[in-house]
Amino acid sequence: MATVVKRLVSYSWQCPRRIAPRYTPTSAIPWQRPFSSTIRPFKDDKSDLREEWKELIEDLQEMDPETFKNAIESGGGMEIDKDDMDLEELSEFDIEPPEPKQKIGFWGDGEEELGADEDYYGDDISALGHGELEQHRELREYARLAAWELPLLSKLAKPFEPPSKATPLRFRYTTYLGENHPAAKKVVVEFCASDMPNLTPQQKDKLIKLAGVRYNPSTDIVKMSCEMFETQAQNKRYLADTINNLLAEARDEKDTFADVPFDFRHHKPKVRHEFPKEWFLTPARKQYLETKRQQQLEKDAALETKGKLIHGAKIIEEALVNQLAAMPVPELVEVAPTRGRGKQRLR
Amino acid sequence: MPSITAHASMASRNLLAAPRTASFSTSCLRFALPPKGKASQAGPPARGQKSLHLKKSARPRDTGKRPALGERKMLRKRIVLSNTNALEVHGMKDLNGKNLRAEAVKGAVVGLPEPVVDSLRAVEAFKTTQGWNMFRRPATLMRKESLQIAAFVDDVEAAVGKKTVRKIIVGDRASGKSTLLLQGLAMAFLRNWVVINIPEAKDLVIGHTEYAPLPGSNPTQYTQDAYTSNLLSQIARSNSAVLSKYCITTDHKLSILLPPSTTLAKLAELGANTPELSWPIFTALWTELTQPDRPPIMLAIDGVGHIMNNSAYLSADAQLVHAHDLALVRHFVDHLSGRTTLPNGGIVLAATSGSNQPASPALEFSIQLAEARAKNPIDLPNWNPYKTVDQRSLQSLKDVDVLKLNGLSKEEARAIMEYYAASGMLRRTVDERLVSETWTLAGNGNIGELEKGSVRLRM
Repeated sequence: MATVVKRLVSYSWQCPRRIAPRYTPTSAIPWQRPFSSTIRPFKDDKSDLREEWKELIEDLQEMDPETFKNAIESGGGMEIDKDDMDLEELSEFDIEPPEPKQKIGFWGDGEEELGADEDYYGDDISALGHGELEQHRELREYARLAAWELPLLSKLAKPFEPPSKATPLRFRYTTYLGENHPAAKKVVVEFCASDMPNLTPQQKDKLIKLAGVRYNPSTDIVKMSCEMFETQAQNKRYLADTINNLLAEARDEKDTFADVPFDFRHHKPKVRHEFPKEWFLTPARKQYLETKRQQQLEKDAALETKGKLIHGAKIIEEALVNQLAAMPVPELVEVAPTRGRGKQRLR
Repeated sequence: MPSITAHASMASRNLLAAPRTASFSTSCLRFALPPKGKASQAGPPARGQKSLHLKKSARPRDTGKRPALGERKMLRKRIVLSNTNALEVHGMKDLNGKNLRAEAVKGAVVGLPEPVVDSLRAVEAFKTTQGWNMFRRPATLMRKESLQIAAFVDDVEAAVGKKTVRKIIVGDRASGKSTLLLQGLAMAFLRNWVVINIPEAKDLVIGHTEYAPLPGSNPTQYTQDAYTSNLLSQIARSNSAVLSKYCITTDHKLSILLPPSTTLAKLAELGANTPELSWPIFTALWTELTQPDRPPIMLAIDGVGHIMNNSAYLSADAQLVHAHDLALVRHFVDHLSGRTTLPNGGIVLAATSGSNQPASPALEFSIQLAEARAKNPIDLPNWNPYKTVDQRSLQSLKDVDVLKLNGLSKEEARAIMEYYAASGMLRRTVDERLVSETWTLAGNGNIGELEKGSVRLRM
């Protein structure tokens, strides 16, 4: 309950206050200006301050500069008179109990760790603002680091050495820059089957068959990973042991696996289509195509002049004309007048 | 057995006798029969009483005339080889026995002579999907591959040791595989060979024709009597001129008596008329044909992918019969694989189908292998051992060569397009531009597409 109230108070701090607690009201009835934006007139106690300052300056002037000097040289504080440190009476051994804790305020009731209620004097930005500033400071800190510290890292750089024949294994680790991540413990190892030392071709084949789907026939690389164990080191150890076992098995002549065919069903080689070289329009090819087209035109023209070019439409027309010509001309026959006895209809 | 009725007073008080229904269950009510209405209690109407009868309105029935028995099939299978509206092409040469490889027919469209057309029709070499019905009379283009077949024909006849050529015709869909087969058959007819053609391998294996185990065969083979008799009738009709020249020479121990002067044509007709004897007669005919001094044989099959797998037939123990266990198929496959040679020489042709080909990994791989072997006999592809394959088919196709059909060349395309135009089926000027355009659109001269693009498509 108290927390909610405390939070309410903290939010209320972000709003302009009506009552400033720095002064004590002079009259019994406080003068209130709820909507005023000007500064309250406070009691003028500047004259007292001036006197205090005067005193302090005089005291400082009276001080012997030698004392300071000695103190600095001896490396300690000011000399303490040791004679005064004697403890004679029993009562002097009594240790005063510590001062009672500050009284817990109204808003901290039930939650002592929140401490006493704070007073707000209207001279600070809100907690949200502080958060923003904090973030900005943090960013600036990293920017400073990037500008000043990171270039120094180049001093630590080592020249790249390509892996040699003696180091055919390539391990891959993953870091999440200090964060906890379930995959941070994972270790992946890759090695080329042909790079493994002291393997006859038959043993290499057996190694590939044992590796199963972990073998990629396009690249000749076996890839294995492990995240069984809690730590990276354990996983790496396991991988190394597995590879050793694989090699030992591959070298085992008892069963050479010669009768087992390779199984690459897990691998689908990527098809790459390349633009055919012959299709590139080089000047020579352009020239060739141009002459070919010219020859075609000439060929057609020659056929046309010889009358051997075949026009489909013309052939059909000719055939139709010939058909008509071949058809027997219908003979006109004189119609004999009807001499029927029937009634003739006149119109 | 204690009877409850003997202690009726007790039974009523017995807990077991109480009605055992769950107090909150509604199942009984829901599953009970509906209560009988008053009408049903009344019983049927009394004699002489009138009752209302509402007739269901009859469905409007299709009163059109049904096609007669077999009419649909006839329409489906009808081969039309002539179009009287098409123009006759003047100056077109006919193919004959002598000009198969002449310069004049190279890359030209040639007509098929009348008797050959009849024979081809008899062996069902023409297909309904081919464009014969658009032209005046059957004519074909003698393309490069046709001339290759003509060369095989010449080789077989010229070879001293009687050569057997075995080829699988492969190619893209509509690239002219069946037509090439037809050209091969036509050439064989022209050279007076004996032609045996299985027009569609599918008919043999899909279980549409009767089958019976062949007595005395081990492992069991199956004969297809109806199909064999039909095949014999086709052989008799198409090769009558050749077969009637030869008489039987040996005693075939058939269950019917054959006079010694029986010609082979008669023998084939006999087999056609007696289906129960068709297989023995077929083997007898084959024995006669393989005697010395008999003509070479042309064996052909279309849609060979169908016989490279299990057939749809079941054996006595309800197992699928492998296609190669069918006697007729085995006879063909033995010759295709080279297990049996033709003593008088001949050609065994098998065409794959682009549109009706069942999945046959064995055939596919064998084709791949043959193509690779033709290119480079050392670097051969390996069979993927983790794929199931029909080993028998793979074995039978082990060393068969393929005849790959590619697209036409531009000159061939021009020749056939000029034929289209001269037949009045293409109303355009056949110049290089049109030919080039059509050739390209037809997928580099695929002849089926070329025909579709120039003759069938009307724009």
